Amino acid sequence: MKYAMVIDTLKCVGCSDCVVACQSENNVPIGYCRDWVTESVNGTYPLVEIELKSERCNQCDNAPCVRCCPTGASHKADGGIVLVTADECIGCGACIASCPYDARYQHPDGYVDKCTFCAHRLKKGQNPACVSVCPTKCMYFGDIDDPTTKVSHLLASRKFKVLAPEAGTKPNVYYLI
Amino acid sequence: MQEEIFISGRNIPKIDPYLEVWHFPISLYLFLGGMAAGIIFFASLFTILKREKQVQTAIKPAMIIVLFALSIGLLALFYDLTHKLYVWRLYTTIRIESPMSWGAWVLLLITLGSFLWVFSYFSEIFPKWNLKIKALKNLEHFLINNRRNLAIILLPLSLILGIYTGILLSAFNARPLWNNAILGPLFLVSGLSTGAACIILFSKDHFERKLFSQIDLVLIFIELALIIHMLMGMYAGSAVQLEALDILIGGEYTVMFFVFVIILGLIFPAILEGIELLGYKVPVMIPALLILIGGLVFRMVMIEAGQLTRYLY
Amino acid sequence: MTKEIGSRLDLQAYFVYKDFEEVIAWQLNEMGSSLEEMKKIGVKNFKRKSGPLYLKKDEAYEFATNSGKIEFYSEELANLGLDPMPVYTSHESPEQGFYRLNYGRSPMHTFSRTINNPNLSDLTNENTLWVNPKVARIEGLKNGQSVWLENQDGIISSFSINVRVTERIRWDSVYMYHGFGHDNKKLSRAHGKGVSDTELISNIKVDPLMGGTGMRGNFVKILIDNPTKEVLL
Repeated sequence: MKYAMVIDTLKCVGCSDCVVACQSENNVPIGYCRDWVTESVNGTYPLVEIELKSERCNQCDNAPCVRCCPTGASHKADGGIVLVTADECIGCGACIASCPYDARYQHPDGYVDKCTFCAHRLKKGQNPACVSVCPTKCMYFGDIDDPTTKVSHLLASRKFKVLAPEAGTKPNVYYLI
Repeated sequence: MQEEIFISGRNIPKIDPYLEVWHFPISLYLFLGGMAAGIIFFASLFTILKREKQVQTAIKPAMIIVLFALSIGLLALFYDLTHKLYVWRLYTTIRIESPMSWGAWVLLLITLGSFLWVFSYFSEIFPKWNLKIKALKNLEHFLINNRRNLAIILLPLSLILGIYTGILLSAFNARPLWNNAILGPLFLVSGLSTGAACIILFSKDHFERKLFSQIDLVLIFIELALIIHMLMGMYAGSAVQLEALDILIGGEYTVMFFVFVIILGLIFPAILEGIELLGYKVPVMIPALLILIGGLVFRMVMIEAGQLTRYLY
Repeated sequence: MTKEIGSRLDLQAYFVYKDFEEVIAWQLNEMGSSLEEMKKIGVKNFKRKSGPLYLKKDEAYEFATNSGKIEFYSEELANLGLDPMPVYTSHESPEQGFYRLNYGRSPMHTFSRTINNPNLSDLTNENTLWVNPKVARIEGLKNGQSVWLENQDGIISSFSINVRVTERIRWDSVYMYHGFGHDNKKLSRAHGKGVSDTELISNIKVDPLMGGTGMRGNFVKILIDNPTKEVLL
């Protein structure tokens, strides 16, 4: 079972509802964020193209943060999600330095925090907060090991890309282009 | 024009606009760790080669400095942690794939080893003090007899400590300035060179100073070659590595890097030591101090400049 | 909520129900349905009482115009002295050094009423001035630089705004989000952040025919130095 998120960049409008939903669902302190929205502008006026993406921790298969954590606080859990056990984290900052997507941050309480694909909601069979809240319904979530899910279908039928594939991390957040 | 911006107002402290998780405490620890590794290496090497009589400074006062260096280094590391109450978790497990993990264990073993080493010289350093507890006296006796074995254990450990300071940084593939394999040997040679400089600084024996000046000269040349190697490697690398090279060659840290690290920290002391070996009188403090300062500034530049480089945005 | 506020103001006599479900049930009963029925079916369609909604094909119908037909050339308007057919009138262009002020909405905020919300102001707490790279080169602007704006009637913005150099705007215009630049100190998170586009809109064109307002006919000049500093000299 491998969870993945598929985001349709053609439908995202950059409203950042996903950011606010995550902040309220996971009690993220103001000033920090577990996911964010980026805008890429290419071209010269009047031939300009923009791409809006909602980014977060990519729960990589070959996660550098799991590899360089000295205590094992950063670990891979069920479904391929990378979680941080706050009691085992010493706050050394190695995982923050090793993430090519800068997805982790140091919580004011000292331990390191990041997007968890709302693991507490997955246990109840619900989608992550950001996916549930998106007004354009551009975010999809599911098990890509199962060929019958919507995400598997989308990845098989449309062109997609991942962020920084050259970093060798094998991320699990796909962007439909 | 290509533009890539955050539109959800992301401004996480210490991450945006540039990574700022590691500052002076980590550079200080890398410097002290490298220097300690160098001193322990020379002390154990000469003990194994049975030439310890010629390097009295290396094996006694310098090793006491090693204890202070390692303690200050460990304190600096501890100070840098943000979740300090859980630091004991570091020693509940060992994970080979994490350089920080096996490095922490090696640091622990080396600190223990150097404590034992200095303890074995207790009667020579403090001849007036008498060890009252019989167990301690037995321990000292045991250590004096097995000093060569202790040296055999400490030699590879010191090499691992020296190279670990570099591998720690090169294991982060997200920071292009650090992510080259030459950083390990480079930090090792730099550590050995600063260790030799420290011994020169504290030595009173002319022969010892000359010996270590020669060793240091060779190490400086190797270090210069490795730095050129690293820069050439980055020049022939991917786009992110070229940007990383830009910071050192044509950017914010160019002056610091070339003036303090290369010229004042490596080339100028090498010239001074060369002049001294040719017979002219040069005060030994100057090249030794310059090498030490150059080593510290080198690590500061690597830590700060490395955190400016990133893959995205 | 309203009922509770009412009872605290001693107006409970006007709220003769227990909760709002009671009100909805009463409203549905008056309409000929009931709360139970609506909960079951969700949507109920009633028959139209005012005749068919759409015209049938080939039906004879008379519109409310002079000729009874749909008119492309309106005699009524011609008699009133207005253009009987739409005529293109070219709008004013900015003069040298001025740029048309365009404004729009931030996707994070609802007009200007959410500007002090903690979560939303964390996302965007100030607006930026979108400037074309060619204009930035001419005016010597860099990304993130603070500038002030002065419009064609000499009104200067109260606060400064940061420049965003982007290809998404034309060479003769600048753009900013509406709803920022508040000068009310009680809005702790929003005070002084960004520029208010409304204070720079002094020229409002009104359509004589139907009264629509056009507010994008204002032109601004970009000032690099703080204009209030000059007064001290």
